[in-house]
Amino acid sequence: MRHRSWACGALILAAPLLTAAAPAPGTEVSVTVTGLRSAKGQVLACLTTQPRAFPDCAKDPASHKRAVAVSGNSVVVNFGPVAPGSYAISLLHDENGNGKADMALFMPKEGFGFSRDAPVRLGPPSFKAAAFMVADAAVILSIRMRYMF
Amino acid sequence: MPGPMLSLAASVALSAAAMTMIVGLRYLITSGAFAFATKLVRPGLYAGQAAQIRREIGWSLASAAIYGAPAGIVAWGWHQRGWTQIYTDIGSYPLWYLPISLLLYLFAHDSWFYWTHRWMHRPRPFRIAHAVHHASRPPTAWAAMSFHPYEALTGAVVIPVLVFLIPVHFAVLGLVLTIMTIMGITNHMGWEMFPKALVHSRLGSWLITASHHQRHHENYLCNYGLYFRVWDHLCGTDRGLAEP
Repeated sequence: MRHRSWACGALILAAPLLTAAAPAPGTEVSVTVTGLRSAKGQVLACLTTQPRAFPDCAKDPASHKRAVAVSGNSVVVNFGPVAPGSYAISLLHDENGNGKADMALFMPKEGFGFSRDAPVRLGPPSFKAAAFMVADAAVILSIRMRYMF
Repeated sequence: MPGPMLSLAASVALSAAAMTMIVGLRYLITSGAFAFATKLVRPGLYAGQAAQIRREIGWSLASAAIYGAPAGIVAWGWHQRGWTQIYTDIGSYPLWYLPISLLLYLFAHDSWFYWTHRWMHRPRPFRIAHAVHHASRPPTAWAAMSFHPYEALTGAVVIPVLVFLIPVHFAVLGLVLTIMTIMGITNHMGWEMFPKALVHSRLGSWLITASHHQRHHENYLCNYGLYFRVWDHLCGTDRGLAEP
């Protein structure tokens, strides 16, 4: 009994080493965010394969989320390696840093952006309108931020 | 009809139905609010008009469907197909264009309204279409959309056509619709809510409020405008304000 729990503990300790040693599988995805109107707050980004989790990623536990402090009118968001597939990205310029999109009369007060620069019309774009493929080659996208007010 | 066509038609129809609900609810809530305000500010003003108010609500709800359908179809096309010149990115046009676009929309709507309204006061169109609206004697806050379906059609197409012609920010469009809703109600509610200092000022001589439109409902062949008195002044159809 004692012996088995030792082996188990060793395995847990070694787990990070094992994953670090193996080369990370997947393809690198990064985004250059342009058109930030101020150097305030952070850019919240999420990358998902799930249409029903787009654009806020709340319904996708496997989504890739990033928060990058803003220091100029452009930042780079690195999602790291991801599995090949069809993805969409949504961005929020969280200027006051409260972690959510502040709204006024159902309209966003903070900046937003989507992969393929899919436009906001009556609500955010569909997953399909913002979707792009990730295969073997690294993906470097550019997304321009938009502001309603 | 093949499957994709059917689902396309269904999603357009759903949007038209949803917009009809929104327009109808907007009417009931806003007209209801101003009718309530009338009860507080001018108690008894609508006394003895219960039957007329019921007819006004009936015609108005029918108009809601006529206004809702084209608006719903255009809203669908905007969202799904990128139709219209409505924009959501404030940086798409210079900031000074925001007030200009508001005035363009109001002036275009006012011009369309003036001429179609004047035409509807010719004997035949009046009998067929516009008499329903003038059956309210005097009108109440519930008469805002009390139109015969033919007349409702002339009003319902204006904004859905303008959004294809004149670029407009989404929030400015919302402001246009808010002004349209509030002025449509208050111009009919039977009392002036704007201060005398505005209504009787030089600026007031170019703006239409309840005092001006009340006179149209009393005298019929004058004061045809919607928001501005420009066309009425130019064409000699302005007869000034109603007695308070």
